[in-house]
Amino acid sequence: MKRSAHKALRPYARWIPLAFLAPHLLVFCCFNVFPILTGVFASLTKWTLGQSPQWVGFANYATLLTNPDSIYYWQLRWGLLSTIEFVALCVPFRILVPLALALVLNTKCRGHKVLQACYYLPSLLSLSVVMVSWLYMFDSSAGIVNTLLGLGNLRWTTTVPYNWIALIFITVWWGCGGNLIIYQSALAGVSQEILEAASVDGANAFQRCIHITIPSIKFPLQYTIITSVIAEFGIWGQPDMFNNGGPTLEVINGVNHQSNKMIMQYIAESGFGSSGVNAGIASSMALILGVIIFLVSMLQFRAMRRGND
Amino acid sequence: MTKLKARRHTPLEYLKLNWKGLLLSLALFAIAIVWLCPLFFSFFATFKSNVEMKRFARYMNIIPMQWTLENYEFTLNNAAAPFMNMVVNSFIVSIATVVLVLVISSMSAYAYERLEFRGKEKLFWALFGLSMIPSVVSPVPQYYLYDALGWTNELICLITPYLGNVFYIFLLRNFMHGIPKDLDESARIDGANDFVIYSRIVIPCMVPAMMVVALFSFTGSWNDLMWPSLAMTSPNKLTLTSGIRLINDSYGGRYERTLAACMLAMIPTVLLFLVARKYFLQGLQLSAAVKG
Repeated sequence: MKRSAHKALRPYARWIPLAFLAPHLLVFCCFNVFPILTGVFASLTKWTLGQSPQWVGFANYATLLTNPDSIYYWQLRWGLLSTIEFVALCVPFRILVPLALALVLNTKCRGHKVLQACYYLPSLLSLSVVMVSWLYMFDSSAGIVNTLLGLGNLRWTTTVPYNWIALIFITVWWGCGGNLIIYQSALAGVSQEILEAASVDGANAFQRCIHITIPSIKFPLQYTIITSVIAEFGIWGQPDMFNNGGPTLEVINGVNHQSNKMIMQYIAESGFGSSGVNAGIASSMALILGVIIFLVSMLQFRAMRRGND
Repeated sequence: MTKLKARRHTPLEYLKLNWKGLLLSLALFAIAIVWLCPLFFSFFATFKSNVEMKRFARYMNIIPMQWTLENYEFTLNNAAAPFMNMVVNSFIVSIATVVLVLVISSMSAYAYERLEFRGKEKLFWALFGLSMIPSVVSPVPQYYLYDALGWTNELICLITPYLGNVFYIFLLRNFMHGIPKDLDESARIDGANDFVIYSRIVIPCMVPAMMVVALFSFTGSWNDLMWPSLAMTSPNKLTLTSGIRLINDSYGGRYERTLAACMLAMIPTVLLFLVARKYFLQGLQLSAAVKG
């Protein structure tokens, strides 16, 4: 009796889940999925802002990958090259620096909570604040670093390899906090009994760290490696604000090959810039980058799974 | 035994017992000071005059010799980069994002966790898989899409891209899983429908997880640099974070002025962290535990 009354009161029961899901599905489809589909479509067209797209098939990809006469061919190569270089140089530090800090902080020395907050603080700041602060530090004439370290008028923004050192340093400084917290919470869960047993058996602190601590936090380590790689592949703000790509190394077809100009900068320039806005080429570049990121993370996932079997 | 425990060490004994740990934390504090020194230097620089900034190499004074507020006055009153406008825009965008994200994600999480419908898990994991597509793909088509909608230079296009986040649903769903269903069921017997259960019973139990999501979406939106910088062409519509990029370009190396804007811009997120540090840390730990 009660149950049937219940049902009669709720004739629309079937639609209730949909009512709860609808807002998210709507925004997800409109503002997450649809732009990606548009991007795939745009990459197959010639599309300038304000005009209607013209279908060109795979011509954009052909230009990007095989036509050395085109500026975009060089942009893609240079952009990808510096981005991959950046990822390769930066990610190890983005893992090792917070890991070392977490290992030390986890000895629960005096004031470890305050210290954790100090080391985490830069990650709270927005990238533009971080960049202005470091631009001031690295300024060639009135800057703190040059003055205090007695480096004279070293131009950090325009001298290779100092531009790279500065960019990597800033990125590690800014991105350290998140990984630090993740490692700290993982380290707190490492079995104290095994560690004590090992030290009774005569393993020193270094051996215990390498053979027990690190293997027991393998999951968070792999997780942070993957997320850091993905994040650094999309690097844009640091080089954009630091030196807008840095010193010119060579000029081909009227395009400057700049030392630390990343692929996202080229994509942003051809997709948004005031001159030569071309959604077709920009989307093709973005998709190529997206595929590369996807493949790299898949490889890492596979390595992770194989390592755990 | 108890007497031994209760006995307090003299400072010298304490030092003898703990000198290793004390040395370590001293070293760590020293490194922390170096670690944060860009912020100290930047903070003091905002109170210096331009002359003093240029003479830094000679006097090496980190603390200003003559304190001045002119950099803050300039920043707040500069018409070319309307600072207060940016503050207002940032708050509108961030708060709207937080509120909408909380409503949308918690409703979705409720449906996935508490309701039954066909293909539930498939739908959830399909969304999760789709959200794994690298985000570098979207800015350009998004811009063209918003242009077609006539939304360029409207604040709404800084809000909408962040509303569909699947990870927040994942977090909330996991948390909701730990809330006992007894309460829902007794309420249902008393005649409450799903909307009442959701809003009166489940949501009040979800406060910690909602805090985590709110903090993450607030700081994410407040600190977002690339999308607002690219999508907004009018300086009146920039957020603080993207505005500082413009300020930095337009002040021509007058760091004391740009840094004054920076110091003001970092207040909200740092304050939030100090007030809700527990939730920040919890959220970060959750994110790794869930995905890892």
